[in-house]
Amino acid sequence: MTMVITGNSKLQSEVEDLCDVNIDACIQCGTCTGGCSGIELMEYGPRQIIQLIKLNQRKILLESRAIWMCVSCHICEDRCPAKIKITSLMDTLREMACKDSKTKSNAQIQFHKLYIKQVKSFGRSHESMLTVALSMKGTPLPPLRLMKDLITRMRVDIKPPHRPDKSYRLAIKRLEKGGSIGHGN
Amino acid sequence: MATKTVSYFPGCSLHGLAKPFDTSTRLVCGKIGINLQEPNDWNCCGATSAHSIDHSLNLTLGARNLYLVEKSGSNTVTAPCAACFSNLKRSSIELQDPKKRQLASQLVGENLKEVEKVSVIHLLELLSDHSISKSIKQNMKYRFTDLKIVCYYGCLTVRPNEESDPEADSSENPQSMDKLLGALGADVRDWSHKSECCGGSHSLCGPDLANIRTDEVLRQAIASGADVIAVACPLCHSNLEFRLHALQAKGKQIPVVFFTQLLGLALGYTVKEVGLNKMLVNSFPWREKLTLA
Ligand code: SF4
Ligand code: SF4
Repeated sequence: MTMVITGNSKLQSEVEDLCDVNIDACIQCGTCTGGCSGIELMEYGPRQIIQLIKLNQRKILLESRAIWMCVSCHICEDRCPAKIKITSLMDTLREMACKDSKTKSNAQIQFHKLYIKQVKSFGRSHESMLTVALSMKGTPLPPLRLMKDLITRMRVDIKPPHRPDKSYRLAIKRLEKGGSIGHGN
Repeated sequence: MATKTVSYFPGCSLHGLAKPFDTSTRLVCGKIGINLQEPNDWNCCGATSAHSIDHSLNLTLGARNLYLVEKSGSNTVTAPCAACFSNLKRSSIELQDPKKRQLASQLVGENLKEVEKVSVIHLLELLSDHSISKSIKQNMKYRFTDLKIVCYYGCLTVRPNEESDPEADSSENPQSMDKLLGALGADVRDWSHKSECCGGSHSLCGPDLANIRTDEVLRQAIASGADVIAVACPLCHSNLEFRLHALQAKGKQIPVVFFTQLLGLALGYTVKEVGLNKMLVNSFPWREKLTLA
């Protein structure tokens, strides 16, 4: 079957509105996929993801494993001859998936949410508290031998978490009231 | 000795697992007259979780940090953590857009008019400055004789890479760390995985990918004949170190150290002072390779 694409898909317009990319500039060369750091565990590489956006495959994309296996390494966009900001595009797709009520949680979503919760309350992340919080959600603790070796080498942060200034807490409050800034770089 | 004050963004990791990176960075900078100024109440840079699923939060976090730098009177901020560097730089590029700046101003609650003037550089770029690298050479107490090093930059010390920036290192074959450590007499090897990714923050939420990436990096580093891997990112460091620790019974071990620890040794600090005694893989089997300069 030959497929003729006329005009931009709805998904393409939606994505382009959210982040600063020009999907049409993609020449499907595959350079991005060739060097992708998450490719072994993705069912679609970044080149295919661009194609799926053009084909309006919203459900497939937002439910894909691929968007969560992207580690934001910037290698794809660094090499892309069309200068497409693929790393931002992946961020955008993940954010769209998180906002979609049909998206099932996974290890990455769980991690990001815990991390963000911590950053919102303390202004910074705290490795040991994060590790404990993750384990309470079912992520196995690091191997015992590793924890022991880190503790004896005094590599584990045992200080109480940071207490951010009022200016920080106010900024978070404004965000939670719905302040937002569109995607970009 | 020239003194220079620069804003210093340690980031969350350097207060935790990567503390030796922070300690050795402060020692090295102190010795050569760079005054590192930590902006008061800096917050998380936003990597990786905030930019992954909450862009508004990410830009607010970045904008507030850049504002704090500007408020402290500095126009340059340096980050030793590659993820902090890369994400702050991404925010600063985004804030060049006046519309974004205005929205971010509302969220941060400050006028962000001037933040576009703050330049974000990785610690490697700061130390590669001609007069600073000269100062390192002048202060050298020891040199490395016949120590074979591979420099592992990881993906984010050199990305996003702006073609318009003439000072930026190459993202495919970076040289800054090679030059800094080469100047200490080390035998710096060329190798294939200088700026490949280590799997980043995935190590905490599903280690499969981090294992694939780190195995590849370790294999290539060992194949190059190196005695030690020098890194410039806390995530690269912990990913490689944890993987080596897990493979202790089976695989060949190779020390993974922060490049600032090697600079510190050459400047006369002890193994303990630069925190090499805190590494998981014995990091000084090559101690005899340190000779008086
Ligand atoms: S590298 Fe760029 S142009 Fe080539 S397939 Fe990927 S997105 Fe398209
Ligand atoms: S940023 Fe994501 S999509 Fe791009 S190369 Fe890295 S892992 Fe792959």
